[in-house]
Amino acid sequence: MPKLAVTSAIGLYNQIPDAIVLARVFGSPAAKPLVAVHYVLGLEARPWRGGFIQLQGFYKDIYDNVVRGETPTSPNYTNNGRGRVYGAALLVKQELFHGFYGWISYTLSRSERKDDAEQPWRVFSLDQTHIFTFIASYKLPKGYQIGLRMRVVTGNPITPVRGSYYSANDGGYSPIYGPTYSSRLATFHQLDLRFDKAWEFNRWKLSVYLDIQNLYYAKNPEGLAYNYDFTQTQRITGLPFLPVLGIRGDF
Amino acid sequence: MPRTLLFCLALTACTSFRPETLVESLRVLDIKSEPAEVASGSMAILTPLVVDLDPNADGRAITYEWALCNKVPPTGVDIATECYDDDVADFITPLPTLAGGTSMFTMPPHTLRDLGTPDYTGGLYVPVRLRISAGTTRLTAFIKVRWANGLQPANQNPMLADLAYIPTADDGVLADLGQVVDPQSLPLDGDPPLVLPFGGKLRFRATAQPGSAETYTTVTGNFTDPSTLMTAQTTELVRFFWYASAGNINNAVTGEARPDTVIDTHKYDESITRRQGLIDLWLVAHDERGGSDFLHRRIQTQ
Repeated sequence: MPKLAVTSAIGLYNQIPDAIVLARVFGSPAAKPLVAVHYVLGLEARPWRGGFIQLQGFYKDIYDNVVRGETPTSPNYTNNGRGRVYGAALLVKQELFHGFYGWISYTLSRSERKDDAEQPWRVFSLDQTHIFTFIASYKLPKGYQIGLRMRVVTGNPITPVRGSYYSANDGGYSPIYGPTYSSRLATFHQLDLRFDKAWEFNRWKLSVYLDIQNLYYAKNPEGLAYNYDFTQTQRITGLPFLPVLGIRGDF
Repeated sequence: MPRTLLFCLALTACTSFRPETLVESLRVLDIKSEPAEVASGSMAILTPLVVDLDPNADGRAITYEWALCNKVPPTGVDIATECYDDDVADFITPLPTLAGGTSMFTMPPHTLRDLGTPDYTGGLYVPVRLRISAGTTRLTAFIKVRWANGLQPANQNPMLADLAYIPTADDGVLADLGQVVDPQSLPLDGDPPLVLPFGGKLRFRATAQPGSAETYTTVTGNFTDPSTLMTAQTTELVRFFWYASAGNINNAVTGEARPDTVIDTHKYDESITRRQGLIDLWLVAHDERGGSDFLHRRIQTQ
């Protein structure tokens, strides 16, 4: 492989709608598969032994995205949705060299949707502006291995609640929402650590590992919970500090 | 280990909000329209149930601002956002504030087509907004007043008959929670208030006047195909919403079939000492067509 290469790709992809979309009563059996055209242009380099650097720009054009029908007389679901995703990704990778391997990747992207062609673009519910991953592993003597993974990711978009009112007909409160997906959960960050010890036999290999997820117990928000009148919020957090001890056999 | 704690450990997602049933600040607990269903050109009296138990309230003044909002919400939306946001607009009609914070209004002329999509009871509604202010606190509430279209008898408000204490041998728990016949129930409408043991689980029962749950006609079928439409007789479900100034209410909403709730006065008891053992209870009844009724009782714990 040359030390420097220019790469490009174009792909046409289809995705069948979820089963609930195709259900006869509550769905729309006539819904079509989503269509996406991917365009990728990149540079790749191998500047040192075992080293690999890749820089890619990408654009995805999404057609026939399944969205809910807008009026009572509309089908339950339609293919009126559109989407686009664009950004760039950088990967710096070290292949196994003197017992060490790992990589750093960073993606800057923007994912947007609209429910019909006339609407303005809005951010997608799973849009993540920054995605940073660092993975490193080191093989020690006598079958020991230690690895770690660090992830930092922009929090998912949420639609903020900017007010609420008491509904005397229902006996409860209703929220008043701000612009759709105009706020975000706090940034996700997590460090995982893993120890492995392997014994090799004639025909198989036995491994014992300790996988510690969320080593420093980051209380990453998975969502927000509101009190009864939407004036207070509390974070719904994901996995706590989670050590897992495992045994694995490879035959 | 309690099952709740195990569930919390599994999800790390449990919250510690104070319950909706606990009244400890400025609150709107109901707005009652009399009559419950109003024909165009007819008048209705609107009576709010507003409570201010903020510990720093000290008899502070509450201001009331009423307005009718003639803005149809988008399909699937309860109240148009503009009705919440806008104070001055051509679809906002200020209403007078009368004694006790009540108001009155005359139902504007409407047709079956200009109030949006009917709800599941076939009802069309006109939203009336109430904003209340006390100190730095400002709250917004809406009542959607049902428009009488003349196609069937107008809905009437449910009427609460009683709120009673049910003595129990074991801290509020009856053998059968659905048991409704208990000759020992003690009404709470006396003066001075009924004295009950402090720190216990107290059982209470709501009853509505006979006929509060009315029968009405609904239309079912595919509205795009008139040949499939059929009428059916439906009886309203009357629900009781419970509120208290102290304690934890185990069933925040009950109904005529299972009308009891239990208040655990061990919990959220901060105000009991401050108020010399008094606990306020509010009971609000809602039917399914915009009708309501409320009452207030007080008990003395010691």
